[in-house]
Amino acid sequence: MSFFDTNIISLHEQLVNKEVTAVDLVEQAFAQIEASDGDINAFISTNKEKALEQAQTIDSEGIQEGEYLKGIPVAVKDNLLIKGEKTTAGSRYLENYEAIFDSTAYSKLKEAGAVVVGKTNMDEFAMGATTETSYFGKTANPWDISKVPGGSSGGSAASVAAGQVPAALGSDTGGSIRQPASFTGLVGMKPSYGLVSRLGLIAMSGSLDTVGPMTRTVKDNAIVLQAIAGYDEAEMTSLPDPAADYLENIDAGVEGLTIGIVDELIDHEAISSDVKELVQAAIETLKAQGAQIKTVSLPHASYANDLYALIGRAESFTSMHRYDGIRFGHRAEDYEDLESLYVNSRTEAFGSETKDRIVEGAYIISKDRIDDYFFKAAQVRTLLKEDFSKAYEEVDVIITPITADTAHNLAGEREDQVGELETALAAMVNLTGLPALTLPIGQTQGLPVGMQIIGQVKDEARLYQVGQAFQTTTDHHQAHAEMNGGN
Amino acid sequence: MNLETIIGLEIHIELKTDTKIFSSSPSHFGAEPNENTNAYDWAHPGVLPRLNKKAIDYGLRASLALNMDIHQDSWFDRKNYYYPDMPLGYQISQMPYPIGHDGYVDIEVDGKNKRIHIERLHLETDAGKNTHGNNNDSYADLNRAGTSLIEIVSEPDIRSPQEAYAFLDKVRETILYSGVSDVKMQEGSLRCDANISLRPYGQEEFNPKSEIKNLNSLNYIQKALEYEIKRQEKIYMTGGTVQGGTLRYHPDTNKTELMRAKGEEADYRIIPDVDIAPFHISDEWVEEARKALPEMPDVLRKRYVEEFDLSEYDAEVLTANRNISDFFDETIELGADSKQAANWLMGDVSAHLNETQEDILETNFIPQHLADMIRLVNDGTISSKIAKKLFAELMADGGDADEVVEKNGWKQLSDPGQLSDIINGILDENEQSIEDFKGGKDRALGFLVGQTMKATRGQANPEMVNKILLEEINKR
Repeated sequence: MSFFDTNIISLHEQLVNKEVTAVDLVEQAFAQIEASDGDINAFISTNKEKALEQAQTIDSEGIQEGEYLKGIPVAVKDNLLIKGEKTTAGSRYLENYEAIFDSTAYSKLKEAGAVVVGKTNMDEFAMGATTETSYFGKTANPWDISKVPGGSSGGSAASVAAGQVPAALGSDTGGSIRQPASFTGLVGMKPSYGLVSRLGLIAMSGSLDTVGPMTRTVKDNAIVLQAIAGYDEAEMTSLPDPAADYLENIDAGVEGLTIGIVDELIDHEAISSDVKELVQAAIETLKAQGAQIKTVSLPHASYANDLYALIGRAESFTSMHRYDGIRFGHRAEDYEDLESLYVNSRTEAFGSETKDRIVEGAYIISKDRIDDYFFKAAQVRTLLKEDFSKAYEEVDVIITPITADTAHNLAGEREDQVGELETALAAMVNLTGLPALTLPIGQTQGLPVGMQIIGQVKDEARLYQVGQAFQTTTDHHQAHAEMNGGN
Repeated sequence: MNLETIIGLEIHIELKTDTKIFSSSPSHFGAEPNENTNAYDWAHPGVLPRLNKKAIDYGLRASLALNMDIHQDSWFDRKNYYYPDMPLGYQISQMPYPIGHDGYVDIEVDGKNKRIHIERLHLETDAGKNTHGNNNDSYADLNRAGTSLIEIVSEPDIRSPQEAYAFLDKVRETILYSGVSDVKMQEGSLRCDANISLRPYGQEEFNPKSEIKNLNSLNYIQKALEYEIKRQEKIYMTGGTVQGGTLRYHPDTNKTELMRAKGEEADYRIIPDVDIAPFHISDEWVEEARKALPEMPDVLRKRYVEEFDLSEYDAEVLTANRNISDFFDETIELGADSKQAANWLMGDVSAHLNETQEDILETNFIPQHLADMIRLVNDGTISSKIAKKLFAELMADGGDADEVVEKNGWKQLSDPGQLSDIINGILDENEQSIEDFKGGKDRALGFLVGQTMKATRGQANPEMVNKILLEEINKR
């Protein structure tokens, strides 16, 4: 058996029919982890004993039809708290930190019966786009282990792409689910801001952070989101009302839907010609199924990279203040006074990307610059929101590329122009609180390429509907990495 | 050179919300160190704030009590700095849009009335407490960390330490009456910083100011300001200039000491706290809060003097504590005589509370008791001597006043027929005393009264006894 040839719905059927057991699936997950994680380093920690115990309980309870996630092995990004287990956020500062409560996203997964096998690698405090800033080593892309898996949810992406688990949770502040999903041929969902509770998510930038699923198919993704979405009274920014039913109309097709495209975001010079062609072909596929295509304009989208840099770093600066060496996490052994305790603890335990962003954040909101940088960015952010509101008067969803090119080499770099455009494509969605689904639309030079479908707030069901229409008539999502043990 | 004193006060007051402003931990005073804390208070990764609506309501009530305008749409900001008693590394406060703005209170100093304007009132989190042990270690107690505070900032309208004292006292009293804080200075629920500068009369711009931190008693404030005025005066008189800065007042030496010179102020890098949703206060909410406010003490005092003919002094004493003035009002509503009620409250009641250090609400004594006691004395059912015993019993055990009197057999003997019989019996046995009285010895009557009281075990109504004795003697 391999998770490559199947999906959550068919695993669920096999579980219900007792063709496989939850224990079998956990064993399979660990067999694949043992076979491939030496190459890709997707996990920071695993907990086989606990997973098996949970699977045994589930097997003895039995699984009812419709309990889709019950008994399904899942991986969770290591910035989501699981009580009593290490939660590091990829940082030395939290190397030995044991969470003292459960994140809501994890509680809900567990309630749905999913079996968490471990915590996945990530850029330190989610600050990065390659999973190379982790204190716990780099993660490699299963499609080509000389390439990055993207980030910051690179461990979650690599784990699913390597067939270790059928689904994983990631977090997305400026593309951290969608870009690695694109680099590893997965479906990634960045939900509407406030749809999935942030309680127990280690904060990076409070107004941008979201939690979402990474899977191999659109339907699997909808199943996982269904489990973790919904109002949480513990979070003041939680969206009111229960989540919609994401499966109900998932097969409704795209007939009668209007898809918006933004010319300057597809024709942008930083985007490789292969990616352009794949995105255009994907749009054609949807058009062939009856979707209307309409050009819309997002005049302020070109500022999204700057807005993200300014607002994201400013907010990160303050969320990082609690790591002071006093109450938990890393404390320097050598210090002379309070000041040096702070300085030494943070200097020792933070990596250079984290330090850079803290310093940049401090600069952006310092007394003499805060008006020109931070508050100006907040104003332009409002204009960007208005751009989208106007566009959605004419269209149902908007399709854009999510990356300008395929994954680059480990320790390599993306050109500035490419990096800035990719940040803008991803972060314009976080800055506006909208949901966006990315899904694989083909490959170039043996590496997968994705596309982004952006919806209106709380319109995740529609995004799944479009994504499902695409996957029904294409087989890009069935392509997978050739991994040790997986075939 | 004649110098004018310019003072502004920043007053921090702890609200008496049951839980902290952004966490469900209890916020009461006096718990074991770190007993009132949870993951949020420790700023563990992944925690999120939950705004306590009561804190907004209290902030609103305090603002209205201080005659302020309300920002009905506002949010909270992060004020970033490090300190071990502040685990998040930022204080949560309201910077651009305080809940209350542009208010005032009226004070009276040396018989002159003056209006002191208030710039703002905002909600914010309090810090915990650091202590330094003998072993060179320091300890943080986070019980107070995150409890709800209001900060009230006056305009620089204050011109003397006496005015500062009067202003602070007026704010304290107003907040106490608005019911949002106990304002107990000894428990640190009211703390004050003072900004002070001097300038020649006629000069418009302000000179650099000193900020004196943490003045925790009304007396300290006056003394610290008096000291600081002399210190600054001396500098100007000798041709120097005051540099300004942050000072600490030492009550034991009655001196101020420089903590931080001007220019060393931190950059707090204030940005909105996006984890806390902006809040809206509806017009209805404002109206409800306005209605919930009681009469303020100065209005009450005026009413007591005009309506009940109490002295200024009595009105002052009765309004020093809202629970006492509430008690007084309720007693009057139950039909009691105002002067008698006031006398009881300022006499026996207040003596008892002083002795036990209790608040009247903590005792068994209720307005109905006081009203009943006054009625029982006035209608002659009990003597004023017995009333004191009744008071002690009601204070100790509560109960119904009439029943207590009945049960203890404390009723006065006032029936003329019954009394005449007893008195005639006594007169029969004391012919000599009748002779003596008729012969002009007034003392003899006292003896006969005493005998009557003895015979009735003290329950005879003394006035009646006097009257009947005289009548019966005259008959003989």
